[in-house]
Amino acid sequence: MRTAFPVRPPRARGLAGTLMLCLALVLSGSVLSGCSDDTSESTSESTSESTSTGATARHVEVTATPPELATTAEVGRIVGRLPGARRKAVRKEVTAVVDRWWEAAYLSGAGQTTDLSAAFPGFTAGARKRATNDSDLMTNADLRADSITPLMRKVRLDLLAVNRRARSVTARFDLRVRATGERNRRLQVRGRLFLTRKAERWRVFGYDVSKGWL
Amino acid sequence: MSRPTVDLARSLRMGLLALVLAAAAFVVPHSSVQPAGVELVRIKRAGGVSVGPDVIWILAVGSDARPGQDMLRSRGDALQLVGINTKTDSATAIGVPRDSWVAIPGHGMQKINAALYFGGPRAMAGAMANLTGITPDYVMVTRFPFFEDMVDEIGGIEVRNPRAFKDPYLKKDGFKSGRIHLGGYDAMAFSRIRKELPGGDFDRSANQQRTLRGIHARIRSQADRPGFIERGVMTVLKHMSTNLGPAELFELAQAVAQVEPGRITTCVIGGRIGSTAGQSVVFPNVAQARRLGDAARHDATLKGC
Repeated sequence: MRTAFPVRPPRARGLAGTLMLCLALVLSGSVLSGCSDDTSESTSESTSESTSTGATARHVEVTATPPELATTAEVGRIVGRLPGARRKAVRKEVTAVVDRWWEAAYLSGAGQTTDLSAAFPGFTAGARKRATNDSDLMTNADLRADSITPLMRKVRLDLLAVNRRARSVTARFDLRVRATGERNRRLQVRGRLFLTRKAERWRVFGYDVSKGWL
Repeated sequence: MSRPTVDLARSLRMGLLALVLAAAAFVVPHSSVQPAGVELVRIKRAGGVSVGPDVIWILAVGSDARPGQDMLRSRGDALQLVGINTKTDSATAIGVPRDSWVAIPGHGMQKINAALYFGGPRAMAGAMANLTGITPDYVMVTRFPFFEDMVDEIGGIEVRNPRAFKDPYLKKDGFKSGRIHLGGYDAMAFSRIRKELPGGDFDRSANQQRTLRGIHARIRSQADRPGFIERGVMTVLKHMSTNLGPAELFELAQAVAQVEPGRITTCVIGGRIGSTAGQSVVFPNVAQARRLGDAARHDATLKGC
């Protein structure tokens, strides 16, 4: 059987395929960062699973009104050696910590409905105190909004591993929401959380966060 | 050019064009919803870490150990008592001339640089506490080759050098005055040379503080690069003598990265040159040392020198 399209060499076919995949993803608006092939970084996981507090899904379906938008989490740089199973465990545990903070601080309310005493689950006592002082930034307490709808939830984890165990995590995150009410605009919160493991739990001891309207 | 190759090139060009247009459509705001030509957007930003007490004191010791010698039983040539306030993101460094004649716990009066030789990090911490009234929480000891490697690994540092100076052994062509870039070896030489400096040991200690500022500025500027802090911690674990675990080192490194350059204060403890027990020594200004210690103990900030 003959085809109407020219037959491409395998390498070229792969490149063009990657381009088309990028194009499709950009057009769909589901990817904000650049595309890369799966050989770009040997220490990072080439594919990412999407995880959320209560559920795990291979693909995030973005619909017009998503009932619940899952967090896309992936492992970025790993300094040291960490077996794959432990990478996965760290990713799930740390993503759960980030999710709980997002839910409590940004997604469950705004303005006066924000409960600062419960806004920083998973933070150390000192970090909670600092974050409370930065509540305009670290929560939506400064916002007057009728509704908050998450548009994007992304986390990328850089790990330090010693003796094949993860010792610290830098969680780079990007949370985007749509706020309706006083303003009907998109809000972005992004930055880094710093975590170490204390008493068998990952705890946030520091942060570097920015917040602004898109 | 063969037909398949031409088709391939055309399809790639079309793909790229579509990609660029699609990306442009995504990032360029639509004019109908963006009536203003310029919009000033307020971005809030804050950062901070909490690693236990608000103020942490670290005694940084540059050992003169030669290859093969035990670094913890050598003499401490560079001595800087560094305080970090994680609540205010400020830091201070109190420099001590290495020949300072002080009381070393259990060993009487000696040059402070001998404390490491006599009693290891604990004795050095005790000697510093006797002088300044501040007991360091951590003692970090390193040797010069590692120090050089570390500075090279972070890409070198910038320091503001108040005067030109040179040394026939360590830096024949010397250091220019003004803002200069130092690689690993030069940072070591800049921190060790004293004979050409008018203030001798005191000026050398001040140069060590300039080096610390340069290292801090470099760490701060690179801290958000993925893996930068993690690699630094791994390097420290391999080359520096410390009883801290990786997690604690990571927390400390993040605390250092959060310090704001404008909130760093430094001072070198003064004194007079003299001799005792057949040695040329520095008799430190103990009253000043205590005053500095009292001033900085709780907030890692010096109001004066």
